[in-house]
Amino acid sequence: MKTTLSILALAAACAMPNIASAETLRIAFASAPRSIDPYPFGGTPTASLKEHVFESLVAADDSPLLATGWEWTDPTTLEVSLRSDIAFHNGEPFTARDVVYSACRMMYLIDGRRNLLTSSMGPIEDIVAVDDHTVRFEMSSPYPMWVQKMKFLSILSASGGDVPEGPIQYDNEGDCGITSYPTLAEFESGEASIGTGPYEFVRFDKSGEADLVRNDNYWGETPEWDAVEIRTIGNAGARLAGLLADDFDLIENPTTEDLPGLTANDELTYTAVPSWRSIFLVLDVNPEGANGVVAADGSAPLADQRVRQAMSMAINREAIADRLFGGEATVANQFAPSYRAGAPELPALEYNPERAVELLAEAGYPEGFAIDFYAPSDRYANGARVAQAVTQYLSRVGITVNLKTQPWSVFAGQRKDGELGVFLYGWGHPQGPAQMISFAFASRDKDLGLGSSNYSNYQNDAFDAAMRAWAVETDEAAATEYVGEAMSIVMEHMPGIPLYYQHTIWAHRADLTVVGRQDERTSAMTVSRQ
Amino acid sequence: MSAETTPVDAGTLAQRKSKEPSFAEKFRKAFRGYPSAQIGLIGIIIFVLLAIFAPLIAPQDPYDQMRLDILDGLLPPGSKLGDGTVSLLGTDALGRDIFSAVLYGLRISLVVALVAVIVGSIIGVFMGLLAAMKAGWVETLIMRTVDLKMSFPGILLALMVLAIFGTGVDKVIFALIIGAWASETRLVRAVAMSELKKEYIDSAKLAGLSDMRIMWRYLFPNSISPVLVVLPMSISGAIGTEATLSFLGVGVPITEPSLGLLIANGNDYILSGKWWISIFPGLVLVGLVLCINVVADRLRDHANPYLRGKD
Repeated sequence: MKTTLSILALAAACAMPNIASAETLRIAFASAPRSIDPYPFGGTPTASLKEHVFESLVAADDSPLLATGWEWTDPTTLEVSLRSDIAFHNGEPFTARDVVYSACRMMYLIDGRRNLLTSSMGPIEDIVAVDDHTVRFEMSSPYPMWVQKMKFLSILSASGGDVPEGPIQYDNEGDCGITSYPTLAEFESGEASIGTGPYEFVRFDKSGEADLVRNDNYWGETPEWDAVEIRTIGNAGARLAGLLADDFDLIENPTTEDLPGLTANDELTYTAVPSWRSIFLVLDVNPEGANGVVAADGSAPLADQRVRQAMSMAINREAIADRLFGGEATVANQFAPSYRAGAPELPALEYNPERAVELLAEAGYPEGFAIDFYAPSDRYANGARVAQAVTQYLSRVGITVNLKTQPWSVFAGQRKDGELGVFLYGWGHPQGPAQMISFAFASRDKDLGLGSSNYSNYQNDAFDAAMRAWAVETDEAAATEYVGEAMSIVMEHMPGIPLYYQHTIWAHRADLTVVGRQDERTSAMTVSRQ
Repeated sequence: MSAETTPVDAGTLAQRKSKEPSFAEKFRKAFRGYPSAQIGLIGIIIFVLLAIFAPLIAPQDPYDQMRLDILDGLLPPGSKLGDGTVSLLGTDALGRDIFSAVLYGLRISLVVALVAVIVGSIIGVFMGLLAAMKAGWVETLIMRTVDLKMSFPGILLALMVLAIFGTGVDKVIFALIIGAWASETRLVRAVAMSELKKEYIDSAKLAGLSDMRIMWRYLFPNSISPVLVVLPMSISGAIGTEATLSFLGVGVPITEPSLGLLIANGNDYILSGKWWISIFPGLVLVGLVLCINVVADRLRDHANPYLRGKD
């Protein structure tokens, strides 16, 4: 009798997972996470996956996460206080030592491969665990951006077998007296995937599959789901079919063409949020001429500010957002999303083709000129169609546009080699509204990390001065002032033409509530049952 | 004497001539009693005429970016466009009139396929004759190259070529030529090898004619007919391959869509009920290939001596 009962109990226990599986959230990603190892790989899918398991001191929305707060005790010293009530998935408590260890891992190159922050951590000379719940970053020069960059420093537990007892001495080489760090394989087998996040690692596969299970001891709000299953389906049609067939509860990036169908379906709906990615044109303003830009008199039309303003006025941004995106795009008035915290208030960009024609004539191009316009065909949502719409608008004011769409692999190489005179590009702004302009329009300054992708050859002293001041300003309000100043200058000169801000879209079951994230990441933490 | 014989000879000659049917008669004979092939032929003629006169028929130049307006985008068939014209078959996302785009697309598809197949066949025939004539290392080199080419799936080879050289109409033609020549080479070589065993070649050789002259004057005209028979089939194959490449986004430029690219554009919208964008180009593509294949089938059957008895 007793055995029968225990067998019954066992059977009941076995049946449990079936009941529990109703609480599993099944997500389809659009592209595969590279690894669960949070250090070597950038990219949104990888970041989406890792933050279920690993957390950082600062959350994606700039609020404190594992930290409780931070203070610049002087322009080169940042003191961060840490939460004290947190344990890793393996039960070890989270302390300042783990932060130092994680920073060491960030600087340590496996097979010579740089990690996410390897180059960004150059100015950091020392990281000191002041006490268990205070960590101090000491820099060689003022480096206010570090607060933003800390989002990418995922915190690992310093409890592996190879970590020496006692305090860890940080150095710039990733050596830190630690003989070996967990390898990619150890992360992917789960051995090393021990974080503080709301979900614990179960399984990862290179094809973009990952299984996660709830961290019952999570320090924050109790996670909504017992388990999370992530799969990757590259083809948008197949992804939608999976949602329709109830293989998934939530899918990334349905195409804007499919949105009317989702609205018509009672079982399904979609959530869209304006993201931090802006889409724009970059113009090579070099007075000696730009590749593929030809004027009848041999001059360099793009070097003339009036020409650039005319090009901006020729484009009907409202029509692009409305017709090509079904309204799921926001018209741009500057390079950073205007709703990004810290972005300045600027007037809307005018659509006025008549004035554009006049401006071109004033600049000495009444007959227009010819440009080769490059756009990646497989990178941005609706990218090829946007490029064609821009081509239409520029053609109408008399500019001969030769549109060349190319796969991203080809396009990216040519852009790097500076071969593109006019091109379509997109940039996310997780690090704040200055992220794109500081890279793309500032004069090159390696120490401050400015101008590393200045393919427009734009150079302006007032703009550079504002960017340099911003790069070392630790006071947030003052830094915001500098960003506003720089943005106004660059919007007046227009070495590029902002078009629109992308919206990120998730299609999901109608009985789920999704709080879409502006950094485009997909997270089980933002999905709840109604 | 001569005055007596001449009329007789002329009569016999005329009689013989009437027994040897002219090309037009042969052609007519091949299709007589085969209504489907006749319809196919008429279809081809219509498609070719539409393609040739596209600029006169089409209400809009779909390649002129200045005339297009995204505000006209995604309108169903029969809608009125911003400039007052009526779009018979609707518009795509960028405001392109589908009817006009199909006519122009037909043009590109036909031109690309014709040029590629004709150039490919010329190369293929030459290579095949050369291989048969020269034998030895020349033959080995040519035929192993053919084997190598044939071992690749055609579409993969074309994708590789386009990945290396970039996209564009000229590159698509180049990729299709590379895909087309090998099978013709194999075909022509086989026919030429059997011709080479015949007496007239021996006598030409004994007469001291050069290899090139024999190849050109005797071997070529006697080996060419099987190529002519498969030519229509090659053309329909090339149209299909071009459409596939453009559908995959590696073919013609997006501002000058061929039928395949038009279908690809519409494919994104098919789930949202905008069926007209891809259905019409799709129907035209299917119609064109079907017509060519029906005609090609007939020509092949007609050329086959085993089947000809049933004519």
